[in-house]
Amino acid sequence: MMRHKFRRFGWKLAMLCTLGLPLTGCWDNRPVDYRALVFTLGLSASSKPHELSMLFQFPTPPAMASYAKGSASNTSQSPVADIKGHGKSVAQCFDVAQAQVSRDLYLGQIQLIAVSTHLSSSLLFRALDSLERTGTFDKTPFMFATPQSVQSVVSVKTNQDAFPSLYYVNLFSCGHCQTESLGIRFWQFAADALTPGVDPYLPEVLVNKKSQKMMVSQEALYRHFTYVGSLNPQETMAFSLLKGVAHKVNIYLPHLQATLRAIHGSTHLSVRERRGQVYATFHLNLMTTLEGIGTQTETAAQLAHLSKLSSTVLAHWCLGVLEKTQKLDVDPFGIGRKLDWRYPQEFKRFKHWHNEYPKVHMTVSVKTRINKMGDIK
Amino acid sequence: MSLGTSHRLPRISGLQFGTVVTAGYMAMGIFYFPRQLVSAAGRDGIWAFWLEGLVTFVLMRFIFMMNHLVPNETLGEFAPKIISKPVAFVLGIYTVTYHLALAVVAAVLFGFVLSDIFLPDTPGWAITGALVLTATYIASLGISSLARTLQAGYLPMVFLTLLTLILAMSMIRHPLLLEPPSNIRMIPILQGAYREYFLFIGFEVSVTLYPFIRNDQRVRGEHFAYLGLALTIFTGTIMYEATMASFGPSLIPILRWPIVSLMRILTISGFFVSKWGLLVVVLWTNAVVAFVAIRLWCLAHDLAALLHWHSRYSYPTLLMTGAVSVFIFALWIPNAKIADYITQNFVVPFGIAYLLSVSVIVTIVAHFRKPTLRRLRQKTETKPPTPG
Repeated sequence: MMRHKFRRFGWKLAMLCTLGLPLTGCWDNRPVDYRALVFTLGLSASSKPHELSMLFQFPTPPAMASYAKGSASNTSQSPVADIKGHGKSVAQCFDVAQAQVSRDLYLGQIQLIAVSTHLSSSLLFRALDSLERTGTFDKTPFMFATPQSVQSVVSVKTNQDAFPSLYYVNLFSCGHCQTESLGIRFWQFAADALTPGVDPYLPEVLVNKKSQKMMVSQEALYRHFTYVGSLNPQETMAFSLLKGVAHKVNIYLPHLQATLRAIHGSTHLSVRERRGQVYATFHLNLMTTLEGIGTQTETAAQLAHLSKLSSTVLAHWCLGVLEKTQKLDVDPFGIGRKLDWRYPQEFKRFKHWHNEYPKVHMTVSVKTRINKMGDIK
Repeated sequence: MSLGTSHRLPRISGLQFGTVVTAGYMAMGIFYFPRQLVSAAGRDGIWAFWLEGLVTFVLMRFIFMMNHLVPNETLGEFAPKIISKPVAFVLGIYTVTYHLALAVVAAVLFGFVLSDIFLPDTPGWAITGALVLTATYIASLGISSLARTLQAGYLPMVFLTLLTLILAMSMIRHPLLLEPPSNIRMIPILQGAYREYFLFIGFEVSVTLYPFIRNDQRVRGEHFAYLGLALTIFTGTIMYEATMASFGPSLIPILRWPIVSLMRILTISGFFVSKWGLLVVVLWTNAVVAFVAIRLWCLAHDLAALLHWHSRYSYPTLLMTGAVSVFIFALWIPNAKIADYITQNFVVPFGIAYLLSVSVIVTIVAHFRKPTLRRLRQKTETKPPTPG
């Protein structure tokens, strides 16, 4: 009996010891010192035709150590290292870049993907598809587009954060901190690019060459994976109102020398189809704060007039953006998608939504409510 | 020493039975969910999922009806006396192969998920080996310990998953997709329900497990199994809604592991672990280990019944044989695509055929062999007929 018990104990002990071997994690054990943690990826067209150029940006070990300690890094040296790779695929670019780095180039910590607007749709699709397949890549990095050199945009020095990537991540992840919540994550872009009846868009970053300051106040529009144009800052404000992601939009009304700020609110899009014609109506319920008025103090009648006037102006802004997207033949608002999800049979009748979108009858209804007026009566 | 069937002491409670039955499914299909539903049925996928739940409820009732025929014996033990030895032998081989296939597919799928996301440089044999070894150790302790381990590990994991899914609702981009579509299309719904049915395949562990429930707990055990099914459908519905309303019906079909992708994009600020969803995916190891352990336990018992080998050495020997077989077969599957192919072309059709045919055939034959059945019950029951 005792022998039997000992034997059973021996078996269990052997089993547990054997279990310990594969659980050690030796195969994937890479100390962080042996890894170059890529924070930013840049995608642009190579000088060679049909080739991709990728930028792998990672923090330098001294900058990383300073950041971990919470102390200021040496300002004379760049806190990040930029490695470039060219090739026909992500893997080729990666190998070229890896050959220039002494440590393991690790893609599991990517926080930002910068895309050149000059990149062709086939190369962008190929690059994003490869990244999607990369297991360690978690689909949550923010994406932005830029018409400038990707390297100059992602490497611009900022005194606000330790690394440029942190600047962009902080900017995009705090929706209510921005005038418009423009942050788009990788999976959101992928979902919009693959869904019929909607086109993706990305925030557009510009760097002032003289002052070396970043500006994120524009929107880059894509048709699937093809860049088709950009919205200027005012159009981007209207765009954000239509999408319901505006937070700090402001408007100046010269007639009353009045300024309304912090315009924000909800949007409801309704879509219907009648005899082959698609009707889209945006209902915007906006709230705003009166920042100032020429008469210094306001009356109820003035407020009502301001509300009406601002509603009209904002409706015109919105209609202008809708017209522009119809001219560009891109549907970033997902009017086709809404039609597909609400009335799939009707949507199926349209062979190519992109031929149909310019013909959509658009209506914008804006109700602006001034709900805050500050301390001056 | 012979452990005759009539001397077997029922050892688990009704709640433990319900937990083991519930842990016996879901783990295999959770990683694919709801890809097959959405690929086939689009937005109607939710109807297909609810249809699967309804079918499972009906089949579970059939299986329990079959268990009532001879409650103190496993299917492998009483089938030869009712449906003849040759037919029962074929059924026994089918059952053993079925458990083996399910364990292999679950181990392989989980190995690929872990290897793809967390441990890219770790060889597949190490991940599968660790999984099978852990499951073997848990199963070696017997059904009582297995059930208690599941109670301790499985229920908190389900609760945590539910909590995480509710938090995942914050990522919803398209609230419109939360509404079940009203234009119901039957053919795609049936296709979706069929292709995704491996989510529910495995609940029939009761054919082996039923005699191990305490006599007075059998009816409660069945109720807990139904409750487990209801909880699974509820959790699955939240999973489906969160995934659908976040990714939309166009992205889900191209994702290999949609629910894992959903968990990966879940970032919760204010928690100590920012990637909370990934932690939950790691905790799902419990579910897969439990699933494989249950299969190994069933495999050993059904093999013992098939070989008529009842001694104190039979269970550990057959358990080890099953574990080694699972490990070896798992190594033969080279990638997730082949695993997907095997699941869709073999596991689903043969699994559904097993679930549909076994309970119906055995119950019908038993109906025409009532005297044999009565003698069998009297022989195997030390007490008057058990409830249930």
